[in-house]
Amino acid sequence: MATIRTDTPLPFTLPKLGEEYDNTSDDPRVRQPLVLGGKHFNEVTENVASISERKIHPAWVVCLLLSLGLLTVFGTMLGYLVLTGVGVWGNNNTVNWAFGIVNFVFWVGIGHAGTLISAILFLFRQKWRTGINRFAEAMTIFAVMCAGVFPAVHVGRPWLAYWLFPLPNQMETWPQFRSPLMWDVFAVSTYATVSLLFWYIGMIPDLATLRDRSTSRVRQIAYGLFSLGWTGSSRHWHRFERAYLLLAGLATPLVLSVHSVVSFDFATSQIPGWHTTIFPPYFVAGAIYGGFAMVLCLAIPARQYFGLKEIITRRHIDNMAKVMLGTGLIVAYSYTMEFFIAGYSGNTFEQFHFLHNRPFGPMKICFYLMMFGNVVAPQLLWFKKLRNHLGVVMFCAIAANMGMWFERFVIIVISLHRDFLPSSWAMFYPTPVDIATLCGSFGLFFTMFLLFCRFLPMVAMAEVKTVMPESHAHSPHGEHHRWDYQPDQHSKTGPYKKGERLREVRDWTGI
Amino acid sequence: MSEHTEHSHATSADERIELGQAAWPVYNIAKIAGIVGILAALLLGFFEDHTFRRFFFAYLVSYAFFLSIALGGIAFVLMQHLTRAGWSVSTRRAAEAMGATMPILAALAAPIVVSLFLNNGALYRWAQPVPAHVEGESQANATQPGAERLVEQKPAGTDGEQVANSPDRQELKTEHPSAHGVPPLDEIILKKRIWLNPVFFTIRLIIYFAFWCWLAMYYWRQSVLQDRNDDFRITERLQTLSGPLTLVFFFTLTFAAFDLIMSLDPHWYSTIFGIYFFTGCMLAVFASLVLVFTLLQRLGYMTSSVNTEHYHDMGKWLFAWTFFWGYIAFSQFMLIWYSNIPEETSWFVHRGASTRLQDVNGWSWVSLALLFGQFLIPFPGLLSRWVKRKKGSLVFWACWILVFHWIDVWWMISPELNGRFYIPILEIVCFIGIAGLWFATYLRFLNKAPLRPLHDPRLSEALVFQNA
Repeated sequence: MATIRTDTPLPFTLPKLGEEYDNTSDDPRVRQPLVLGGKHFNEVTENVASISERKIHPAWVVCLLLSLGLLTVFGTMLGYLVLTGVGVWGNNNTVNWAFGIVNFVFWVGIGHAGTLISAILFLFRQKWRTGINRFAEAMTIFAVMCAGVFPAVHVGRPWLAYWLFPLPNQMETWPQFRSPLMWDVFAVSTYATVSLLFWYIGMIPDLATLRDRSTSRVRQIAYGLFSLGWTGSSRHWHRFERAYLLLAGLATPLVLSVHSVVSFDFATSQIPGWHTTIFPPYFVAGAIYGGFAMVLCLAIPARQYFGLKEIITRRHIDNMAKVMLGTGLIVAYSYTMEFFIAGYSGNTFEQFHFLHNRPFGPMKICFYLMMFGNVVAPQLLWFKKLRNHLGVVMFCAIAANMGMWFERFVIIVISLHRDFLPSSWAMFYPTPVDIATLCGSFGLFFTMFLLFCRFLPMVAMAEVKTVMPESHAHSPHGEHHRWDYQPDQHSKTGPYKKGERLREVRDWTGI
Repeated sequence: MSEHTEHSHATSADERIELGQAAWPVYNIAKIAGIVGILAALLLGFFEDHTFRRFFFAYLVSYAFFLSIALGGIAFVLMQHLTRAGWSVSTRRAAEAMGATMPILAALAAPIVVSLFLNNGALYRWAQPVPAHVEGESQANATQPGAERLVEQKPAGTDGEQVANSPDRQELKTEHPSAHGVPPLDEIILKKRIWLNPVFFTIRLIIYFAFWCWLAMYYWRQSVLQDRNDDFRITERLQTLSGPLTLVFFFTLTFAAFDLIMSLDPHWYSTIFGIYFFTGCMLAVFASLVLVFTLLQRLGYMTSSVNTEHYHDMGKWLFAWTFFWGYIAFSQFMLIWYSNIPEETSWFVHRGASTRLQDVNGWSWVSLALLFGQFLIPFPGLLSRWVKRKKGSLVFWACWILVFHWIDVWWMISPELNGRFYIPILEIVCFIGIAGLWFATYLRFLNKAPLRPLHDPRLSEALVFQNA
């Protein structure tokens, strides 16, 4: 058999995408660089650390004031709620769960991307995660904080919310362990704890960098305190990496468990639209979808304004868009299963709910907004041209966040408002307090995020450096010294047959 | 493998990657075993009961088992392209060949289609002729909506939960169909006739298999073509196509699981069932790959391009899918158990997977065996790093998982025969038959091309890859 050579020679520079380098190519002969601009270690540190060291930018102050304004709204609404009672919400006897639980599930869902990126993508050896994991994890913590508020105030007497914990029973109360709501308390608090630990432990080397660069006494003390005496010795690094791997292993099942347990709140019931066996994986996929959408919503502006375009590159955006597309399709698959099985089951109530009340009922607009955000909009991301357009990606991300909020609304409210007995049917109308509380929760989220951007290392500097060619000292210099991926490859000869040519995957970082 | 551990790269130039003549004796034995096995199963099935009901169920068990390996092979290949994976390139050909056995599986689906057109509901009880008077009646009834109708629709005596809940349970149990009898069509099944009827079912099977055969052969052929023409654009094309094809593949797999397995109990439904079956496919393919490479290396093939690092990664995937199986199986069971809706719990009651003592039967032990054998035991078993890097222990767990995957498929299918527990002798004879034919086909495909890709652009990554 004659060998036909069809290779086209590889270019030695990256193509451009507007003003940026385009490292999104999927050419199987190359592994794309993950840090652009010919940066070296010191430049990465400068780039990231200087964000918290330079003078405060007025735009940041304006954003913070706006967020604080929203946070004030949130606080006021919660205060009003606690002083008056849950009656200030639109909930009624039929729709006894509404905005409070919708917002809870929405925020918990957003919290999934961080741990997925730091734990699961770590185990999958996805090196691109290093550019985005730090602020995705931060976002996770803040989202879980927002989420935690809602069930706490939903219990009616928030000052007794601590009864949810299994306290010694001299109080003669003991939580109902058979209730999935109880499992939620444990799932979410475990998740919050492990996420916080994971985030903080990953940050220690970077906090030490900030400490060492500090010029003011206050910064020295603050960063010094939290960097726990990190010296960067090899023993420290060794233990750090062991701890990181262990936490990744522990956090991986948590990515699945939290939203699965949240889905149990609904799926253990008998209400059509709530009870279906696909709920746990479906909720997890939806959560990752919504979480990645939120990461994109934050990353696209952040890389622009904080000058991180060469660390959070177009490839990072492209990959996140692909994860959104993939998880969005799993969500679409789950919808299909729900609708198909409702039709297949022969169960009148299931059929009424899925084939009539959702698409044609009085709240059909919410259903269509959900379908648009979760099924229609992500289809744009099939196309590389559109993924390369930041406006389109941003649009899809916002649509996804909206779609995911409406998904929870559709599941919770539309299922409840018309159940088995038409005599108990009722409509749900949100009150201004409902809407203000939802908007206010974004105030808490953005305030925390802005403070994080300003005072903590926004990118995991130490981890980004591990995916740069320089961190592999034993790789031979010369043609391949800027190797970004599989750096050990060049020091060895591959096991190939005699006469068999073996092309090596080339790096493209010589720019 | 012991001599080919970390230091294997140096000794690799003389690696044998063409199966050649050595495969023929095994191929012939497998073929003979296959034909003899199927004939023996037919004979045994005939003596067991003259309607071949038992045979059809036994056949479906092993058929679904090998189908899951082939589907897993396709899924594995699609996923490697979808994720642009580098580590797995040297293992990919073996999986491509597993997928490429799809045509023989399509042919082996013939008895299932035959069972439909025997018109006695021997395998799928919805495939009985609809009595003329019932047809008219059900048309009239179907147009009346109303909640109270649901209660009437419960088929007396055929539904396990109804039986279990009934006070005069003993009396009803005598009405439970015998080994040869098939429960009659009831109103729920009649409602589903639009989906569950022999003609449409056959059309769907043809669609699934046409797609799977095309998909598997396309990926196998293109990969083999690349060995010859060394064109990197083949990889580019395969990875571009992998996205949409994965989507279609997942839908067809789900509906095939609904059709082939879930519809055995036409009353029951579970939205997660497709994912449950898919998880089994992934367990099957990773366990099979471990065994295939072990076998090949024993015989002196592929001695260095698949090494400890690849076994370690396949072991990790085995572990991950074991965990995922536990997650999905638990989700399905717990949600149905907790909600306790009779039309859903019936499926688990048939399998004795109930917390009520009077529901315990022979299948209860199989259910428990699955809980432990498919999840609680292999989970800690595969947890540690050295287990996955040591050939012997990994092979042990791969065999273990395959055995329990077969038990899982058996547990999904056989209790629908008549609710009784059988010692699976006929099932095992069927297994030998299908295994022989399937393995012979697999060997043929392994023999037709080198055992690993020769010119995949990412081959070099796979050959020198190391678990950090």
